[in-house]
Amino acid sequence: MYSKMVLCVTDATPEDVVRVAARLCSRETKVFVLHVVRILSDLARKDAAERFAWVMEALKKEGVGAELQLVEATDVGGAIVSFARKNGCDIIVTGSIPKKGILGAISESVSDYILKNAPCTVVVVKRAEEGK
Amino acid sequence: MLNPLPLIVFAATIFLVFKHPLVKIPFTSRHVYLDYGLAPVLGALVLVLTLTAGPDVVLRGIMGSDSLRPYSVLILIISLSYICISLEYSGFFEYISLRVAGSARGSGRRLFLYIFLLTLVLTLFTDNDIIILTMTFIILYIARNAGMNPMPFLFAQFFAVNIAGMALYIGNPTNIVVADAAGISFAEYARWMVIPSFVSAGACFVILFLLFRRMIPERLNETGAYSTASIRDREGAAFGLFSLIVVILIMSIPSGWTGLPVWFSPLLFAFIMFLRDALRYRSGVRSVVSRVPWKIVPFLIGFFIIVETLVSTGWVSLLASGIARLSGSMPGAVLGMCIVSSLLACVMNNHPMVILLVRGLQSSQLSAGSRLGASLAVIAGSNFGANLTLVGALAGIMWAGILSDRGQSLSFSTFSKYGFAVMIPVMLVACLTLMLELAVSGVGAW
Repeated sequence: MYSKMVLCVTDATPEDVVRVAARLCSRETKVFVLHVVRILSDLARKDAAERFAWVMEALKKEGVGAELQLVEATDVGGAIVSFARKNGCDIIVTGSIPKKGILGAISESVSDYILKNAPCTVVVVKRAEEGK
Repeated sequence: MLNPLPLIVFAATIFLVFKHPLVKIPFTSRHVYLDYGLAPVLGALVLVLTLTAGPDVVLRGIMGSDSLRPYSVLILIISLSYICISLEYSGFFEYISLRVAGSARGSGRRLFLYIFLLTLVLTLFTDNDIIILTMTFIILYIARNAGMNPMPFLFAQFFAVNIAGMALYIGNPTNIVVADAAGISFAEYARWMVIPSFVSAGACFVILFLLFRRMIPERLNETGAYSTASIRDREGAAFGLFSLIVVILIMSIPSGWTGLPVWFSPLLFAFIMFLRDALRYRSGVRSVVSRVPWKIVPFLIGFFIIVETLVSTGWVSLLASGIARLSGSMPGAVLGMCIVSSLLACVMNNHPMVILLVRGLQSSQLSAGSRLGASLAVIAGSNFGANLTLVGALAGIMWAGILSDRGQSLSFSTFSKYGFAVMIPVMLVACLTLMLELAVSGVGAW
């Protein structure tokens, strides 16, 4: 089993991602629930703690030890990869945000960046309905 | 037949800036985004390696020609950004936004008006990107607590940013590029652009309110609590505000009196603020420095060199004759150039548009009045274009990314639909005001 996991969360993260992450954990796994913000202030910390309380709650219910980590960066993918490297993590779990139309063609895919640059195992959770 | 390569490179670079593909760095396992910090440099490099751009062209791209000095523009942009970012780091913007939101006392409509007005005032003197980042966060925070749809408020702040950004010389990097090229000083700039900006802002607010009135809730919960917000570093905020005011005052003095280049006072104060931040925040200063939009340096330099190649290969003289034909009359120079520049900005981004049109304006045979009218119109277009599509300005692409992370889906077409509906009348009002100003002052009698 994995010893240190980065679980990337945003407001668009579905429950599936958290469920998959919990399944990949053993009792010894330490989970960093990581959220990247553009500007980190005290209010941003408080706000994020409230917004991601459900993730922490869900992991606790599964008996997984987790802590919420906030990182300030403009380059989200880069911040996640360097966090994983700095903390010696052996797995990154992330969702993927489906983007359509012109915006889809011009927006970067963070999950793609992580897949290509991560120093460890990467699990990208894609929801079934996204493929339809 | 003109050499097509520079034009192809110019178009390809803009495509890459929007697309920013993830590419592998040769001989390593690392992948990087070929984004706005990298693509223009790569474009310029292609032109140098193919001998299309000689050393003289590259040098002119960096040092400038006539009164346009790219290095001076960059020093100014980075210094002013640092001052605003440092002010933001003190918690000032977050504090003031929460206090203003609190003073709406639970009325949705009042909150809508206050957010619009606050954004206008803050953007007048500070950096657009910082205000968009702060206001977007605050609006989403308030919306989550009050259980309301944030979209009307998000649109109001985004549109307000790009309209107020045109009022002063320092409001947007594109203003600086055009004004420097046309030899318009800080004070003269304000004389022409403040009134059209305020008139446009008024028109924009009325249209936004009419469009969104049904989506704005009558009553909101919990907004009173925001009045108790506190500031992280009160002294830092005071010092930052003081520095910003002094910089603006020094910049508004004609440079002939002081003999100092326009970038001198912003650079000096940015450096003083950096020293203060380093002493006060210790390692936190790294966070302030990392927020500076450094990538704008290779982005602009790259495009200056690429456009310089378009000048040396004769493409810009074609553009210049088009501009001269269009700017023969006052409506053509102001309304025509404003429409052309904003439409170009919304398909090719406002920075490349401005660099291209400015070089076109510099090479065209125009009377002093037409040149002034057309330059002011390009400034207006570079700001308005940012509200037409999400690629009109770099801030739009960044903003769309933040909204999608926050689970707020805003499609390119929805944004453009509102953008065109609001901005076409706003643009007309702005141009009419500008034409009236030019006619009254006698400059427009051409």
